[in-house]
Formats: sequence, C-alpha cells, structure tokens
Amino acid sequence: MMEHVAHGLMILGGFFAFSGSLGILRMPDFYSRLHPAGTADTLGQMLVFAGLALKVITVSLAEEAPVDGLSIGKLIAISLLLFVTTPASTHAIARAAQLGGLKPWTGEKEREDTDE
Amino acid sequence: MRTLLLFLVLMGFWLLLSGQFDKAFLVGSGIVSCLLTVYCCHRLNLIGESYQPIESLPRFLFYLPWLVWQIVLASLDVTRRSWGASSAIQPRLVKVPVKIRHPLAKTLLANSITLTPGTVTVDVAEDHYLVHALTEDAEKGVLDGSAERRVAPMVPGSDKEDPDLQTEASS
Repeated sequence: MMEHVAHGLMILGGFFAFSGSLGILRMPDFYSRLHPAGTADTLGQMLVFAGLALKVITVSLAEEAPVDGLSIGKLIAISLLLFVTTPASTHAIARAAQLGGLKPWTGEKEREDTDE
Repeated sequence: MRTLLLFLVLMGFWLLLSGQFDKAFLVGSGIVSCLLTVYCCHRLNLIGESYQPIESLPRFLFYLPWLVWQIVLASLDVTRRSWGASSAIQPRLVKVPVKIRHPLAKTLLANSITLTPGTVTVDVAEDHYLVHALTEDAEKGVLDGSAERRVAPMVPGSDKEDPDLQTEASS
C-alpha cells in the first residue's frame, strides 16, 4: 500500500516537472518562461523526494531492517538545497536578462522581437 | 555561540553526507575540516546576525507551511497555463515598493515572490522590487504586500538599515 503511495508521489512529481518543461516551451517570451521553470520544478522535486523517502521506508520495512534514516536525511538535504537555489537562480537569470536590456512581451508587440 | 553553532551544523552535514560514524580517520578529518572552515569564516567576518540568523529560525518554521502551500498553488497555476492556451497570460513588469531593508529579509521576500503564483522577481533595488507578473491577478496579489507582512516579523529589526549592508553589497 505504502509503496503505491510512494510511486504515486513520484509519478505526480514527474508530471509537474514535465508540465514545467512544457510550459518553458509554450510560453511566449523569456520572462514568462521563467515562471514554469521556477515553480513547477520546485513542487515536482518536493514530490519526487517525498516519494523516494517513502520508498526508502517501505524497502527497509520489507527487509525488516531498521529504517535507513541517513538516506532520508540526505534526500531532505538535497530537497532543501533545490528549494533555496531554484528561486535564486531564476532571479539571477531574470536579472541578467533585465540588465541585458531585454524587454518583456506584453501581448501587443510581435513575438519575434522579444523572443531571443 | 554562533561560532559553536556553525561548527555543529557543518559537522552534522559532514556526518550526514559521509554516513560513517565509527571510522576514526573520517570523523577526525571531518572535525579538522569543520574547524578550518569555522576559522576561515571567523577571519572573513562571516559570523554575525545576517549569516547565522538563529533568531529568525522559529518564525521561519511557521512561515514554511504557508510558503509550501503557495508553491503548490503556483505549480498548479503554471501547470494549467502550460497545458492551456497561451493567450491566457498578459505578462507585465511591476514595480513593487518594499519597506524592509534587512538583507536577509529582502532575500527571503524576493525568493518568496518568485515561488508564489504568477510572479518572478527580476530586480532588487534599494526600495522596490521589479517583479514580472503573468496576469493581472498576480499583479494585484504582489502589490497588496501580503508576503511582506509575513516576512517582516521573521527578522528582528528588518525595517532598519543593516550594519552589514556595505559588506553584503560589495560581495
């Protein structure tokens, strides 16, 4: 039962990560593309890591071994790292674009002169 | 106090990553590395309120659930827009006035804005942020300052100028 929940979480996380990638492809200009890159991936990675942690617990229980707290700790550490760095890198890219003089597309202009 | 805490956190991280508690060489080299790092931090003046914000930690733990919920909302929002028609967005740049001055609080707020639905922080200036919003609703949400009200009480004295500000800006 718990194993299915773990798989479900991982698949759901994968779905969000995929949606984020799809969003990057479909959004009209550079700044809009940052939105799916920054947020959908954060939820996606949290779900995937939650699923992996649950999987670690179920595997330990199935082998009747003590729960592998170290691996879970590492998973949480990676998740926290991504949680902090994703918005920071999104901001860095956005700021670089802004300093480079890229104007955001507002729906009025033609697409090609903003989409670089 | 902060020095000791930094050492303990570094040591805990080392042990977490190595996972070896009984090999004297590995634990010993961990202690040496952490001591060296703490010494370097001390020499570089990297020990202080903005670098080890222990005072803000308890409030941050209360803030975290709200932030995670915002991320869930943001991801659902972005997922819907990714699959739906691209005409559903009207992107714009918004200037958001910000009252808080503390570097840590500003960083937290900028990151929170990026993680909340439909907004990405583009530029952080002295008294305002430049925020890219996907829709008009997102623009209103970021302009009403609800995120700032949640961030401000977390950092003590966040409305005042920070003494480390010069070092932060130059780094």
